[in-house]
Order: sequence, then C-alpha cells, then structure tokens
Amino acid sequence: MLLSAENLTCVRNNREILSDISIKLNSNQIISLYGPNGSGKTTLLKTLANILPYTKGAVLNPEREICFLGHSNCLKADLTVFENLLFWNGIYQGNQIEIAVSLLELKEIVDIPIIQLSAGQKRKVGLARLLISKSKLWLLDEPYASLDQHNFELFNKIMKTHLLENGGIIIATHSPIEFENVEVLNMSNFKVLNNYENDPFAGSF
Amino acid sequence: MSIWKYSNPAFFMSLSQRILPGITIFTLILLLVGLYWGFFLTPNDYQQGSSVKIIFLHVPAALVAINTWFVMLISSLIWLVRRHHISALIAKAAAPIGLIMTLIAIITGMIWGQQMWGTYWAWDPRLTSFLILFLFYVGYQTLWGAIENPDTAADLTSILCLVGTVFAILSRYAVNFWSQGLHQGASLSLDKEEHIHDAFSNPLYICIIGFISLFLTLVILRTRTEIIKRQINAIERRRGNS
Amino acid sequence: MISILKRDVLLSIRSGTGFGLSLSFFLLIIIFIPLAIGPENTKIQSIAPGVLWLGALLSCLLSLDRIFQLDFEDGSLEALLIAPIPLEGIVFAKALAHWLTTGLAITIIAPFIGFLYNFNQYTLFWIFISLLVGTPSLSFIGAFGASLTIGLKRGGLLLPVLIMPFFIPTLIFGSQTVLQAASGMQITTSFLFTAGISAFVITLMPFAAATAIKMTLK
Repeated sequence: MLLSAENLTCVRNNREILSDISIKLNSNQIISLYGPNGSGKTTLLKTLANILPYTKGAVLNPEREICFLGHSNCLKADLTVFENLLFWNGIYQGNQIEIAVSLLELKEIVDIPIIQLSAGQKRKVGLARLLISKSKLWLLDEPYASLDQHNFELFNKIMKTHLLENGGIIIATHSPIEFENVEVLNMSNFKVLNNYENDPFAGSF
Repeated sequence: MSIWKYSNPAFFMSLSQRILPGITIFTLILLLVGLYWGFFLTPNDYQQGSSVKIIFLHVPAALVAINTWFVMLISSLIWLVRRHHISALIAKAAAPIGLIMTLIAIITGMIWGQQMWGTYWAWDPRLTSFLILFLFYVGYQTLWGAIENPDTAADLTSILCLVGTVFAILSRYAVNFWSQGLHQGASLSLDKEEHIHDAFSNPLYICIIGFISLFLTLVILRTRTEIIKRQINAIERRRGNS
Repeated sequence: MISILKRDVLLSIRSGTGFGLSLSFFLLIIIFIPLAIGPENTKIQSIAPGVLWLGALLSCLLSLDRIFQLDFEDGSLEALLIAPIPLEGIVFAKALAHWLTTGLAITIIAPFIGFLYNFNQYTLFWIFISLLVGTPSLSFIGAFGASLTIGLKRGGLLLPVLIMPFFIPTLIFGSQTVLQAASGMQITTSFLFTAGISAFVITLMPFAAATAIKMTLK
C-alpha cells in the first residue's frame, strides 16, 4: 500500500473546500482525479503530498517518498538542462540522470539553458525530475501540459513502466487516460457546499 | 468551562461590550487624578525644577511600551499553539499602541533630557534601546500590512514577534555594552529614580495604573475593530459567492 | 545539501548578483562615507572600523530576497519541502551559499582596505576575524527575514526594514571588537559575543525560517 487517505478534509486559503475523501493507492495502480477547473484537484494532490495541511482525517504514507509534479517545472532559467537535473539528482541522491535523459529523449538539449527551450521541452525536463526522484509514488497535476502527441505517448510509456515497477500514480488531467483499470475519483462528490460555518467570523453578530 | 471560551469572536464581542464603558471611565478617572496630582499638586524638586514632572508621562509610557511587546509575545504564542483568532487579533491590535507608547517614551525622554542636560538627544542606553524597540514595532506592523491572507499574516508575524523578542533583549545588552564601552558609566541615564521625591511616588503609581488601564481599553477597542473587519470580510465573501 | 550550496552559488554568479555585486557595493560604501563627512584623516580613521562593518552589513542585504524567491517562483520550494532533505538543512545550505558570495568575499578584502587606513597588524587581524565570525550571522538572520517575505510583491523593500534591527547586536559587538583592537584595548568580551551570537543564529535561524516557509506555502 503506497498511500491511503481516510475521511480527509482539505483546505485552501484556510477554508475547507473538500471533505470526506477516502483513497487507497496500491502498487501498480493509477487513480485519476476528474473535475472541472477549481474543483480542488490541485489542492487534493498537494494535501496528499504533504505540502498543504488538512483539518480532518488522516493520510498514511508508509513509503514516505513522494514526488509531486505541479504546474511549474521547478527549473532554473539560467542553468542548463543538465545542471538542473544534476541539482535534483543531488537532492534525491540518485544516479538516474542518464536514464532520465534517454527515456525522455533529452539528449540533444542537455546542455542548453532552460530559458532557450520551448514550453514542451521545459515540461519534459520537469517530468525528468520524476524519474530522478526514485519515488514509488507520483502525484501528477496536469503532466501533459504543453506536450505534443509524440511526447504525450512517450510519457504514457514511462508511466506504464513506472506502474509495472510497482509504482503508483495519482493524476489530475483533462486529457484522456489511456490505461486500463483506472480508478476515477469524481471531485464533485467531495465538494464542501456551505463552508461559511467554518469561518469563525461568519454569522457571529 | 475553560478560559478558551473567550476565544470565540461572538463571546469576545459581547464581553467587551459589557466591560468597555466601565474600563473607559476607570481609565479616565485614573489618568485625570494621577496627572493632575502629579503635575499640579506636587512640590517642585529643588534641583530639577518642574521639568522632572514629565516622568508622570515618561515612566508609565515606557512601562506600557515594553509590556505591550510581551502581551504581543504571549498572544502570538497562543495563536501558534491553539490557533485562536482572537489571540492573533489582540497581538495585531496591541502593536500600534506599543508603537505610540514607545514614541511617547522617547519624546518625553528627550524633553526631560533637554531640561536637565541641555541637549535633546543623547545616545544613552535607555533612549537608544527605546529607539530600537520602536524599530521592532515598525517592522512588526509593516509585516502585518504586507501579507494578504490574514491567517498567514498572523502566522508570520507571530514568528517575527518570537524571534524579535530574543533579539530585542539581546540588543538591550548590546546597547548597554556599546554605551559603557565608550564612557565610564551612563552619563545621561534617565534611570536614576533616587532623585525622585517621595511625594511623587503615589501619583506616579496612579499614573502607571492609569496607563495600563488605558492600554487595556485601547486594546479592547482595537480588537473589536479588527473582529468587525473580519466579519465584514466574511459577509462580503458570502455575498460574492452566492 | 551540498547540491543546494553549489547550485545557489552558481546561480548567483551567473545572474551577476554574486561576489562582484557585493564587493562593488561594499567599496561604494567605503568610498561614500568619507566623501560625505569630509577628508579629515583623524575623523575618518576613528570611524573606519564602523564603516567596514556597516559596509559588510549593507552589502549583505543586497541579494537576500533572492534566497527563497527564485525557488518559490518556479515551484522548487514546494518540491524541496517534500524532498528527503529536511527543510532546515535546505535553509542552512542556502544561507551558507549567501554568506559565501557576500560575507566571505567582504571578509577577505576588508583587511586590504584596512591596510589603506594604516591600521596596525593587530587591528587588521581582528578586522578579518571579527568579520569572518560575524558575517555568517548576517546571512542567517537575513535568510530568516527572507523566509518571512517570500512571494510578496513589495518584498524587496520590506525585507531591510524588517531585518535590520536584528542585525544590531552583531553590528555592535563586531564593530566594537575592531574599535577596541584599534585602540589597543581588550577585545575578549566583544569578540566572544560576536562569535556567540553567530553560533546561536546559525543553529536556530534555520528552524525559524523553515517554519515560516511552511506557513507561506500553506
């Protein structure tokens, strides 16, 4: 079991927006979050990643190593692709740079400063951090953003391999998921409708 | 019921509404009696003339200036540990009062210095320490104003207050060292309370209690204002969402 | 942690806010203060130790807001939050990197500037040592201040206002060390306090800063 959440209540800007979420993610499993913009997918992912606090419930994460990929690529514009990957490699104490570079087909741009890359190329370098992190659990927020068809399929292959190696993925995306046995979580089931009661200053005249 | 019931905004508002008139009158009486007595009914000191009577403003203001920071410290700790919004608002409300009191302490200190030693400003440990305290108050208030989300602002200003307390105390010792390192003994110390005539001590105590009462009145008033501001925000958000 | 150190130093050099900027600003202050107060040698000589220390302090302020801002803007700070390294270690490495590009650089050239003021060897030695031991506290206090102002638009100007009162103890004890050395007096107390404050700050500020960062990221 990679991650489990029980009766979780998520907050954004100190207001409760999602409640009663229960998830269980095992190895070789992928869960997809489905919902319109603003439905709290990013908030949920960040809460599961231990970036945001939660007010009720529990999150269990026995593996303790999570890699979260958000909208930003976590790349420094003044450094080259290699220097950025070298940095994350040092942080995660891995030795996966060559593998990441070859799997994501970054070989030609490896010595180019990030600032000179296109949006799609930057996204690929951002995705490389996942491979470098050695984490079994990937939390992905719109990973396909800016990717063309070829790279879309490339990353799908990488995700499949990750799952086969006993990894787990929770993904929020508007793109169609081309996997079998995807468990879909509908965000509207968890939306907190009237969160004004939770504001200590509301209705206290 | 524990003391934490006071942390509910509605409860605070109703309680403060009941206390406020009483404590305001109490403050006014104390200040009027203390200051009038101190300024007009005490004899002039034979060596310092009438100017020393500024201590009836200076000493209470200085005491409140320092203790306000400790009130902020405790409120900040309560916010960090128990997340009671009222605590955070009390700290926020107290800060400007502390700042003004510090300013009063500095200005009255300067006036006293001018009368006694012919110079408005001197880099003596007392005045310099109050100047530094003033800077800490300014920094604290500026941070409150700079952060949009009120809970994050409460968090960060609490940390600032905690760490700031350590450095404020450290600065006090540093300034003492700094000033005595250059001169033998404090030449312009305003600490010398042996000079104060015994007849002064009673009105002085009344003024001190009066100033403390003034502090409490103002903090209650300002906290109420802060609560109302947050309530208005809550209403606007509700209206904006529906 | 070394990765952070190396990368942050590399970044500051590449963006032009590293050694060169700190040293230039330091020199500017050293030149401007005499320009502002007149060329009497005795006057300048007596304030020179304070000027050196003040220059170090103000130069340190320059690149402080960058410490966390860049990583915050590109999402790295969140990633670092959940990385295997504790956030306190990350703050420590970043503050150290900042010191390497500001405080340390200034510490190295300060004795040469002191030489131009005709200080004796004993004083020059203590200029070097007091700055070496005292400037880290400036970087670490600065890092704490930076952690409070991450993501603020006007953060750049707010940070000096917030943090300079915190520099006062270090400034006093550091400059006193040099002033006392220059007049041949005993420097033990001042120096011990300078070192003590630095040790205290280096150990505790990372925790305070890490707490502030987690609050901002919420």
